[in-house]
Amino acid sequence: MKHDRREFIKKAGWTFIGSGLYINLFTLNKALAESTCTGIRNLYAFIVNTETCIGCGKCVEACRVENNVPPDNYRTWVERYTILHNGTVEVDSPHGGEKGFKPVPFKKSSIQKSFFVPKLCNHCKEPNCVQVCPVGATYVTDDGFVLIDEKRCVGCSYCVMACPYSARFMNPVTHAADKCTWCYHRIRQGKLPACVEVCPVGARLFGRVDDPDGPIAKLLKAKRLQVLKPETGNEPMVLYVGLDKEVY
Amino acid sequence: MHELITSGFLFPNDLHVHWSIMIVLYPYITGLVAGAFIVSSLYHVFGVQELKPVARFSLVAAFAFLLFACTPLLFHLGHPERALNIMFTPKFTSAMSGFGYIYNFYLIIVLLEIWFVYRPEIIRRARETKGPLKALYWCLALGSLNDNETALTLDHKIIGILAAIGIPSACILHGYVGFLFGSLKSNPWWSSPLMPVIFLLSAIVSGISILIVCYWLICRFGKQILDTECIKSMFKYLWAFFILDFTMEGLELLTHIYEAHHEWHIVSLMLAKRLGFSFYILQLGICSVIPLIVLGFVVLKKMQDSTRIKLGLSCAVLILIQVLAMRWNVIVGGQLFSKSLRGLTSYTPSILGREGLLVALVLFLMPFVVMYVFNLILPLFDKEPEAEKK
Amino acid sequence: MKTYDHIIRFALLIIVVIVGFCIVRTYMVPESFGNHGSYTYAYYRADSKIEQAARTVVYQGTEHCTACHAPEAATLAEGTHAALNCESCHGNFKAHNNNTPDRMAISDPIDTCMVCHEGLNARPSEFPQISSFAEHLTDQGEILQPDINCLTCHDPHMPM
Repeated sequence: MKHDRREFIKKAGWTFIGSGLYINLFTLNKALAESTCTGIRNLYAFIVNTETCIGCGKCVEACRVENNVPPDNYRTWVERYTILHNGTVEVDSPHGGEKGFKPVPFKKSSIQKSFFVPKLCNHCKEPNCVQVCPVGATYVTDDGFVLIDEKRCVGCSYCVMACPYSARFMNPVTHAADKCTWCYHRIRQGKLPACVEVCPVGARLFGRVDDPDGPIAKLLKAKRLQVLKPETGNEPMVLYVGLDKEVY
Repeated sequence: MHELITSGFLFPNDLHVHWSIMIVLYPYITGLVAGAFIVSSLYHVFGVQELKPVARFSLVAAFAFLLFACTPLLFHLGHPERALNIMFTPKFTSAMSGFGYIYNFYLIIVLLEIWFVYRPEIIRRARETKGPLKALYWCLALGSLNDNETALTLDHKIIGILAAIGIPSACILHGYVGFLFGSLKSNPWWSSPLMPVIFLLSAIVSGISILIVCYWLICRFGKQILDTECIKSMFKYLWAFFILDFTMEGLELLTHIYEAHHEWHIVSLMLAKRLGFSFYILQLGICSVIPLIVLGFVVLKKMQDSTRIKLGLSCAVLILIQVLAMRWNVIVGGQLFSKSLRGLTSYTPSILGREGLLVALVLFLMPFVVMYVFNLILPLFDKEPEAEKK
Repeated sequence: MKTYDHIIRFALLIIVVIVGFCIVRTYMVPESFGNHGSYTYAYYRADSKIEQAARTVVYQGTEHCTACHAPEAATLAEGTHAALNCESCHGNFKAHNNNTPDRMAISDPIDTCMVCHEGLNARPSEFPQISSFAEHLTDQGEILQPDINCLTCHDPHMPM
């Protein structure tokens, strides 16, 4: 009797193991099959022209309305740099520049130069924020958009720590990571990002890199362009015109 | 919520410290695990006989801390109900993903080792007790009561193997936490190849210290007789590892100061204005210099055993504070300055709330409750002093 | 055999746990989750992309307003505000419907204009700006009175 029971347990055990492994290997197979598809192609670029930005803050407001960004959190913001003759650098961004800016408390004669720098997620080619997500909740699409799956995010904040540009934040409503998506939903519906749409002076430009008549290709030819923190190696796709050495 | 104290220019998303006291507590607890396990392995693998009295207890301590290691993280996560995603769809390019598999693998190793170490005791109790207790011990033994010579010799070999596997596993379990910080290129206070080493070494010293403190407390208030050779041996290893730990921490700081990278201006300002007490006075000052010197006397100088134990115990307490301060200074410190490198913010943990001090305290005390409950089922220490057992 | 009995039992227990986990995993991981290119950058739930693309668009753009407001749009296109999007000053289209046409009216013209045209050092010098409304009036030889605002002299759709 004992022998039969042992035999039964053995057979049941192996069946159990076999079926479990089979089910899991089947899903593993699927993952392997999909990994042979083409890699990511960064088709889009965003250009910010700090020589024309007037710091009106309409871009910040439009982003907040378009994307339901909770207060005190910013998918995009505008910074103002005031560089004095004595070398002092004052940087401010009152509420991200959303309501515009007020005059600085400096005499005009003491100011060497002053300018605005809008900032947003750089949708890097090799984003280290995507590299550090432990659960696959943030990713790069086939055409180079860096997006967040807020239904999978566990809220560990590692990506928020990892972003060198502080473009990410913890959304207090969804309790997941959040950031500028270059208005992915608008692009897919044939429109421009909201901030690009409302900019009154064309300081923000967006388009395909390979479109010869588009705004990106024109500036790529006409101007020397910089990126923020190139030393990170993330290869940001937001290109700046007129970035000063004091901008970090 | 406390008012934030900010100065200079911070990026708008840099105002709040996300990795709070819960994230400080997590490496602290896993550190205690690693340290306790090293003590146990010193006996089981390297044959340091003086540590035999605490060998079993340190395993149980490691297990108790391990059980609660993940709880601070669950209190921190935005979506703790999705926590298992880290096991279902792990992305191994992230250091944090190691938490799922490395943690569970190590938990199984420690559990296995405890089981094999305690098997003779479990079997004996399964035979000698009656009723529900007998059922409990029978279940713990997985229904197999064989304790013949061959079985026990085999067990002994397996314990050795497990302890040997356990050492690199413990190193990886705590090392990956250090790597989690050290590999983050965007945070200049964290980014360093020394970070995993520093975390691991401070983990070991904190683990040895907590064992010293627990052992002394149990002997002082329980019915256990303190084995002086055992505690002296622990002082010796504590001092040795602490020298290494202090050297590494000092090297890290020295490199920052000497190389004076772009970020050093704001980081030094942050250390002075926000972490003046916890960094310069606690971590580098009182809680490092004093144990470093006093432990030297405790280990090398001739003195009364009672004095030796009192001094060594005080050093162990100071080191426990030092390691907690170090975790705080690294983790919170790295978030107190903006990535703009032009501004500072502040962080005061709340007392109540999901990520408050009260929860942190309760989570830290829970492993001790586990150890107490464990002792009710299986003894943490042998009743007879070692000398008579031979 | 009897000697290894306890080890086999423990091993079986572990195996049961692991296999159980594998089975649970198959149900818990969504269908579209997987490696869609590079494991480092494209390991995600593909349905998320589709969900994101389907989000509601709020700002509609100037062309959308032109459908009902052709005259204003035509005036705008000929002046210095040609690059200005209607929604920049009037707010996003979604706030506007036939029942509440005045929700898109400008409540305080001076504030609305000064957001862009107040004189700031950081603004490019070639951009038209004034130091303050009062000073601007004085420069024009006018006196500040309660009911004067920018619209008294400027048509916002053709300001200069």
